[in-house]
Amino acid sequence: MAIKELDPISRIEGHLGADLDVNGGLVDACKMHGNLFRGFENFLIGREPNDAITFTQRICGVCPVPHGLASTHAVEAAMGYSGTAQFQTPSMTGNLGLGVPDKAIHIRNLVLGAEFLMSSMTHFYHLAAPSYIQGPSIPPWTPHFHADYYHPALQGSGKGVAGATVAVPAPYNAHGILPADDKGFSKDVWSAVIKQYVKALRIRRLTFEAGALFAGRMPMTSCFVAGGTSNLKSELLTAKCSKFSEFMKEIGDFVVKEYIPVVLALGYLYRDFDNKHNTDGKGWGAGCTNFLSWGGFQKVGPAAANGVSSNHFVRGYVFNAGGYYGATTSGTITAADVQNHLTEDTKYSWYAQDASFGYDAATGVSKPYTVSRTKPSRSKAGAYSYLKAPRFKGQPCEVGPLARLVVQGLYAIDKDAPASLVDSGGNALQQLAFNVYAKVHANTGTGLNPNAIEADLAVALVRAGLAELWLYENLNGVVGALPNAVKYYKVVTGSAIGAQTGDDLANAITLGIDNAALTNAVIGLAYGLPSAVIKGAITNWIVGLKLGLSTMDRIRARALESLLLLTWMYGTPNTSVAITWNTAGTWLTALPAVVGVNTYRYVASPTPESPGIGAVEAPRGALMHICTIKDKKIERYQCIVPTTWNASPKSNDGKHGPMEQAVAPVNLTGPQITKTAYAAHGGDLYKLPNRNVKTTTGGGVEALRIAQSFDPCIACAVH
Amino acid sequence: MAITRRQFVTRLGTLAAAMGLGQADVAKIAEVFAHASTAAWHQKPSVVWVHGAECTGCSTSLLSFFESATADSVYGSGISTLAALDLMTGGDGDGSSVLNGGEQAGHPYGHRTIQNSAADTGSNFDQKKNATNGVYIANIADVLIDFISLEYHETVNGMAGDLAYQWLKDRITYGGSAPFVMVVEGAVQRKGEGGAWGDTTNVPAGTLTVPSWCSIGINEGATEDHDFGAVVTGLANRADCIGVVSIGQCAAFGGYPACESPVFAADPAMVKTDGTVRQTPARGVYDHLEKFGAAGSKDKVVNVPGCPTNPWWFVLTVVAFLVDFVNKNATPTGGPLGILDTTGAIKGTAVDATRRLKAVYGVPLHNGFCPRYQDHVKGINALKPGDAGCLQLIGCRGISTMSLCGVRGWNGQQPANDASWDYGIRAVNGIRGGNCIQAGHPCMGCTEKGYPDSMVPFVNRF
Repeated sequence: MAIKELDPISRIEGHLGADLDVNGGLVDACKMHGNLFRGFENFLIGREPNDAITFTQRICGVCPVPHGLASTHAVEAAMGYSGTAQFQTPSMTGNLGLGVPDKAIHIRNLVLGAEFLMSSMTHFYHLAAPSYIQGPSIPPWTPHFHADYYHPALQGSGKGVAGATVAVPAPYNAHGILPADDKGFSKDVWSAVIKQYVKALRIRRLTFEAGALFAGRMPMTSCFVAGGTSNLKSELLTAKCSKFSEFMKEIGDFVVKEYIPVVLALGYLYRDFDNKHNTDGKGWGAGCTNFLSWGGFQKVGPAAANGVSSNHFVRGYVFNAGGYYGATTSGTITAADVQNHLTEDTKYSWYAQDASFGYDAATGVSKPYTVSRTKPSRSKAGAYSYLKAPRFKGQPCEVGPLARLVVQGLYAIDKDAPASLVDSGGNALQQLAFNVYAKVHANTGTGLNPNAIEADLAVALVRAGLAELWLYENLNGVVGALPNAVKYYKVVTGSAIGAQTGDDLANAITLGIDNAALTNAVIGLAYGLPSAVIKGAITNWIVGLKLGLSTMDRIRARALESLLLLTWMYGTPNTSVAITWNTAGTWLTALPAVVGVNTYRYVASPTPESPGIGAVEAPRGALMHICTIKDKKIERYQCIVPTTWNASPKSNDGKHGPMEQAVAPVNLTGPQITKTAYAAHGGDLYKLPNRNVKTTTGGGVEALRIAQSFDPCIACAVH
Repeated sequence: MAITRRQFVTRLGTLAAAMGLGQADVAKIAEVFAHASTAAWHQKPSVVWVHGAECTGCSTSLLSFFESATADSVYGSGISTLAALDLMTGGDGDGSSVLNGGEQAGHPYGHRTIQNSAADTGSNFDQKKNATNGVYIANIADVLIDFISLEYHETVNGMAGDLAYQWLKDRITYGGSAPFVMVVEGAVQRKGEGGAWGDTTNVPAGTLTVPSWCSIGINEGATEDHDFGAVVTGLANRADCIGVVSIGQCAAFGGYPACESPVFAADPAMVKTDGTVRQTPARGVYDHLEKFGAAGSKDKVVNVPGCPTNPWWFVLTVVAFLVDFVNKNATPTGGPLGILDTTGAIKGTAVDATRRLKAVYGVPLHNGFCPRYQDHVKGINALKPGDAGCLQLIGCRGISTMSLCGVRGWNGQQPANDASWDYGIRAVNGIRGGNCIQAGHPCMGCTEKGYPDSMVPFVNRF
């Protein structure tokens, strides 16, 4: 037994470390520790309730919007905007005497939606991806892990190029251009991905520019106020929504053509981390298999804010997803459930008391809305983190994009076999994936749609000899022998273009095929098969996965969720020729049509003042603020934050948190990293073959990747 | 367009005069720039960026940096970012070394970025997108790849775990191959001090018998940590640390981690011996170094406050700082911008009482650039959120806040959002981007020392 420390876990928000108990090359146990305490809950006491909206946004500068929104709901509830205990403040329409103006709810949704898109893209490209893709050979991307940790195609040395060596992994040559061929394509997979990294910097900025149309500025919005938003009530919204849509068009095209395909490719290249591609069916990094979502993105209208259908993301939980640890159970969550079943333990946290919320240590009985002051105690024996340990019905729960999709019923989990996902109708995400990535060819049936995948990446994958596997393996069982690139072209166009042996791509280029045709050649798979069959294959490729709980599933869920969100906010993509977006019925269409001009409604604080809950979905998962007011000032304030769920220490009864379970195979019957899987890789997490971890990487790359897949945010988690 | 060297020198001289160098020797400056290649940095400045009690909001904000490279690098100076970058990286101020693949010996990878040709197939996606606007773009990729060497930044660097721990430890102990600028994001909490709860366990930084308030790394054997207080002191004390930039309200003045509950303040049991009721010993970098740093370390500090800090304020502060550092012997009294003296130390005339560069924080928000200033003049006042009119009655702090939010707004900087686009409530002076007031929210005074405690309540609700 030897404790190895992995700290800092970088490229996340905040200060997180992992205490790894390494035994025989395996991580037998993992303790995650948050390393920063600031004390938000305490210094909010005695302040004006409305100020909490600004204060709590400073809990986290990466996801301030959901904090502002949860706080707004909590404060509004305590002020009496919501009537009885609610998760969110309802819209005025249909809720007589309650709620805030419809226009404010639309604006809140759009600002939060912009934040989601920003967060997802930043997480993948700028935080997680450098753990899989060797960066350019200049700081801040160096020093990096030992090169052997990266898939050959994603090493800057250009190993992925068939028969070629690109000597200099410089990000740009003297003319500012990544290595490219005479057709303008990136010369290798690495270049194509680095190009996306840079491009994503622009795309994420556009999400901020969109959100700032209403928020004033991003990050740290200024438009939220208890009672609505502060936006000028007489403002004409048509122009702003039109500008917002313009941003969404570019962002959406990027999500469809680049973000989702590169995420799918990454899962293929790092199959140990992906259930889908893992030979023993157990990808690394599955967690506790319990999922929770508070629901988010309110619908406008008469539905009560407690109603399951009052949000676009539904409220609910799924325990034992996949059935590894027992029968799967699931359900909705009511306000009473929050009072009776939500606890936050602090036995293993550096705080004086052993429970801080909803739990009476003396009687063992949950007590609704009892919030203790969070008194730090750094010398407490046994404690190892500044995070607390929230539990629902006594269970640790994973929250975040994967949890939302699982709770929503959009992410299929089947531990034994590929899920059967042939169009059953009514499954929004799978139907959406099919509509985007499949194309019906008049003569040859249905295949992948070349318009939906950026040629640059696809061509690079073909060059590296990877696209065929990447695309084909995912469709295995549906088609027969693997055609080469030129055959694809031939099938699509019906024309022969020359020899089909050797470097067919080179031949194709020699023959003068233009970029568009080349794209077709590379990814325009078309088979004379019934569309239902290919539809099943494509939806299976994109969303239907064998397990759906691994490291890559979290990354993939984040990308797919971005697409889902875009369909609500902006439009549904149609890729029959180029990407067009059908914007009917979206939030951006609805906002300018909102009846009534107010953005704000005043309600005096009632006496006596009731405790208020504000629960929303943040990019990283379920977020709840709880506020009690006395004499018009904050009496108690409590935040139960997504990463507090995910990176939590042990609960009072000794149950490890989701991230701890994902890193360590504490239960080898579950979908964690198996001993077999480790043995196949040299048997030592720290000494994988040819990987001198100690001196070149700092250790625990696998643990690092698993932790990063949760997109942890420790400023949030501790606050 | 790039300006000529003569134009550049003239503007520099004008600026030097405006910044208090009344006797600035313009001829001397010109002489320096005539030999710019010998005076220039010749390699990318090293930046070590450390995070303490923070929220990463300022880094997140900076990632969205974007501006026209021909806009003023320092407010009102007439010196463009392009010219300043050119100068800083070995050119003569005409932009040629920045544009069109100009390559300097000290930049093994060359400059790739600021180009203006639609035909370019490189990776400046902003440029390709906006080529028709005929503007030069500077974005965060330019900064990261071409103009600074960001050696340490937990949120973007490739390192993790023991490698990162050891790298930082070595930098504190041995330094690097070149001078570096330290950027601090977040307040500093010293391990040996307690908070309002009386946790005053006095333990030395480094050991792990009790945790630090903020630890930014633990060694592989779990025997020692990087207490953030010790990291800041350790780096700032080094002679090769040429400057300390505190980005954001927390690093500058303590900000949120240092604020105090009004209820706790009334409870004698909570009050610490220093008279505060701060939850932790959080304070700004300058205050920390004044108490615990080596002599002179606090004088390296320049503050760039904001909550978060606007990327533009930060970049122009750093650029101005580096231009002056590279050319600190340009005049008998120091650098051409009047910020640093000949030893590279910050001059009192260049910063205000809270160590903000006057060139960046010298303008009050409450002036003609405020989108609702005309309402103020006409006496139209908003009485509740959502109303038109000056926001003073519902809590606006613009009158006492020095900030360029009105001069150039947040986000929305791309040329597509040109001046004809009514980005905010109305187009005022052609400004681009938003700010709090454009969203109808009172200014909260986030650039001022004392925020947030002295600025609440932020909104008077009626």
